[in-house]
Amino acid sequence: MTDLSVTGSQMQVKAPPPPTPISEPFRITTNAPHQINDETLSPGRRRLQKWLGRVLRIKISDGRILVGFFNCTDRDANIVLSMCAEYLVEGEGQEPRLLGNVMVPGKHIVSLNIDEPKPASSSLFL
Amino acid sequence: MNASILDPPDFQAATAAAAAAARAHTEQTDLDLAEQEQWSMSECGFMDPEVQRTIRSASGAEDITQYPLHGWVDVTAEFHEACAELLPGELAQDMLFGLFEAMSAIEIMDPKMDVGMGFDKQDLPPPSFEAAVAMGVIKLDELTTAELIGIFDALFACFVSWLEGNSMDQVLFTCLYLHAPAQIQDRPLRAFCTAVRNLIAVVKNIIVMAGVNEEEDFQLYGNSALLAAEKAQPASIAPMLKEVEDSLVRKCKQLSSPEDSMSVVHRLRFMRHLFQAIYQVELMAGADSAEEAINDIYKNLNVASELMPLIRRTIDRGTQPVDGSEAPNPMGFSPRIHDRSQPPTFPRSIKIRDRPSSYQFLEEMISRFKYACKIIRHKDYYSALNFFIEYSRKSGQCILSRSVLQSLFSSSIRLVHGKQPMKQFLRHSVQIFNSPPVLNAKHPVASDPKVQQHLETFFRYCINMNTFNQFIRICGFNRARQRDKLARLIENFDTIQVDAARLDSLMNQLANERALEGNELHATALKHSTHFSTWVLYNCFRAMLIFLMSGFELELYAVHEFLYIYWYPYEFLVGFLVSALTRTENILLAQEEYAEHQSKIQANGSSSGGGGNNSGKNRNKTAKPRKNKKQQRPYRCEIVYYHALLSLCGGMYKAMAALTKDGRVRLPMSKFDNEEIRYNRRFLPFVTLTSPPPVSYAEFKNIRDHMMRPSVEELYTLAAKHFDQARNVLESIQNPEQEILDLLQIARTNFVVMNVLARGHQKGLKRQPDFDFSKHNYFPIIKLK
Repeated sequence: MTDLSVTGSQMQVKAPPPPTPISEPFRITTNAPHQINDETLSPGRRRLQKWLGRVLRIKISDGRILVGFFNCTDRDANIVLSMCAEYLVEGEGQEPRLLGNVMVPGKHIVSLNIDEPKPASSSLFL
Repeated sequence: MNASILDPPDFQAATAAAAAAARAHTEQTDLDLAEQEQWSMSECGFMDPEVQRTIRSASGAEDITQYPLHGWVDVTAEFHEACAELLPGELAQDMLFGLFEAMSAIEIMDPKMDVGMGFDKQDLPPPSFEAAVAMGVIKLDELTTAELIGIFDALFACFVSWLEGNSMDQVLFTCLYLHAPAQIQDRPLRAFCTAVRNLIAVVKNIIVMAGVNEEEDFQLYGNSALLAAEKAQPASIAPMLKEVEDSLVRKCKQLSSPEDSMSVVHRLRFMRHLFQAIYQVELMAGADSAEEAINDIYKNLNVASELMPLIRRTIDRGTQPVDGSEAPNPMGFSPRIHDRSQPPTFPRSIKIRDRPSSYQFLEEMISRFKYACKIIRHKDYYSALNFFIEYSRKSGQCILSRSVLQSLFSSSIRLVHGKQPMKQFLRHSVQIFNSPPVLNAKHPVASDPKVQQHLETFFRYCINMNTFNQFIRICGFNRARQRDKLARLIENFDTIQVDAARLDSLMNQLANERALEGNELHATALKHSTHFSTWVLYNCFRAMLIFLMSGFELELYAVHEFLYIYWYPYEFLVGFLVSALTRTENILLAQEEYAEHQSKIQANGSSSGGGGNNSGKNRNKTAKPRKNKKQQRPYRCEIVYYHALLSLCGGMYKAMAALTKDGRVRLPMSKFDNEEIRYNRRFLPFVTLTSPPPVSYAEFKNIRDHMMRPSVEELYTLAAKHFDQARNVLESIQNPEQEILDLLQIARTNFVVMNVLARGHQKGLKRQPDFDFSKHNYFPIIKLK
């Protein structure tokens, strides 16, 4: 888990500014340095925060696979990916089409995978 | 050993020093600048890791395909649970994620944006030309007439869709026949496909040369490799089509019912004439005589438009597109062939026009081309500019029509109407506009070397002379782009105003000198000359008016802003235009009177010197016919029009004042409002001009406060009066055009509305009226709800 905060510690060169109270309608959870170690955030938010900026693989309802950097999401799990690559089917050895920034509506998401080291138990098999 | 170790550094140091010395001589300043820049760059935080990351991701150095680095871990359930914790409207976002990223994202599974959508993985890739031939789904020989007509009509539909701004690859090149016309055995089809390919090249050239396209008008860049496969030979197209037509006609004669084959012939012939016309437009630059070239173009267009009804009547003889299919024709098209090769930010989802409306488009386009040919009659700047403004209003939506007009008018920046240099054209234009004696070659003063020198300096060396050329070019852009281009153009007028005023004052100075020398004739010709500055100012005012009023057409202004937008032309701009034109007319009148006076003197004293006599006669010849033809007041129509405009602006200005005072205009909340900023922003391009001097917000406020003093009822009555005046002026125009009739209706309706309001109608209801701009781009009909 420690390596996950790499971006966070890099950013902490400057002293973190005091967390500003955000009025409810504009509430934003980000992985910016002033929030990264905010203990008061709910567990779900902390999890999202840790995934932001990492590579996400989304399978959508028509079978395509989208792989890109996880940039943004909301309550309905609409997801914005940047530098996205589109694969028509699952499996190796395909030429992807590069799409740039994409927004995937939550209702079209079938499954989500994040690129990270497997939890300790499964890493034994590697 | 020792030396060899020591040597290199010495050597390096020496060369470095020499190089530095050499640079110091030549590039001292450059170097300093560069160094400063470097410093400032790092100071600006370029080394900041955040910024570095942005640069990295923008350059695309990170390769997404190399992921996963570790391995995919399924987080579907976890992710959804986490998202459910967010509040409605709350975002979890990367710290580098901003509005730009949000706006540029393509929405997946949106049929308009997502071209990869609905891609069935069982589907085979869309067939290419070779694959289609191998599978036997396209015929290369012995096509039936119905198949030919179907393909031709579909290709015309693709061509029209291309001109409407779609990518060439996604419309035209979905037709597999276009990929390799040389391999087609069927002669009519081969000829037609070759013609289409050449037409693409020619049209592209015209649009590039005219340079009045913007990314939203036209997709210039398609997959040119597709075109390059076979060489374009536009000159051979017409004879080739002719030959195929002739052989088909011969065949028709042996048939009992030749109608179907004749429909094919008509399409080939239409293609030939359309192609010829467009190709000749491209060749305009090299034409010996612009008149002849335009005549030829016009003839071709005429034939093409005569064929149009025959073609439209026989659309149903061809194979029709299958319902629900994306292909414009059952055979020969592979709609998705280029979808996956398009860049991601492309306008993705395209719909090819249906056949009847495509032919309607072509018919209208041909009549626009025919209208554009009339530019040849407009030999001077004033009437050419009017033509361009009119054309833009009527035909501004079609990129090819606009480009054709540009090509017909000037084949390059320096040449107008074929081979006439721009400089000469402008000189001639000033002469037509207000006929300064110094530009009249027959007038003795024109040979004065000093006068010549000044004129030459003005027309040749005044760099901003290009401003005039630019004005005409701007009229070729689409309506929305014209506005910001005009803003920049207006700034350029300042320098040329100064130069023109200088030229005028030099002429006046010369007048004094010549008077002292006793050269009465020259002195009178040079005196009180404001010819050049009037000419420049007039054009500047027009640009300003178009700029200001175009904001209504583009729906840029909020209702509460209407007041000062109408105020400016009412108080200043239209008045300036009227006075510039009146002054011009007066100058022309005075000159004619003087010429008459001179010729009378000469006629009386016929025994006087031969030289003077000659000049008098010559002037008679030049001055008389014009006077008879154009009457004495060549600008009367325009002046009357501006008078009407003045009253309409006045009416709108006071109507807005009354409505505002009456509380019927929705104003912005005061905490978000700063009228001064909005005012300054709206008139920003005018600030740089010396003449007319800019009017500050404070001045405007004073004038408005003063105007707003009367009661609401009185203000409504005042507005009504203005509309009534406008009505009077407009009714006095004989043989009015549609625009005048529309303005008349606006003036009449608004007059009634203002009177109704003045009498206290709906006094309790403070609803904002509707402003309906459907009749005219600049003036609304005010409608009470």
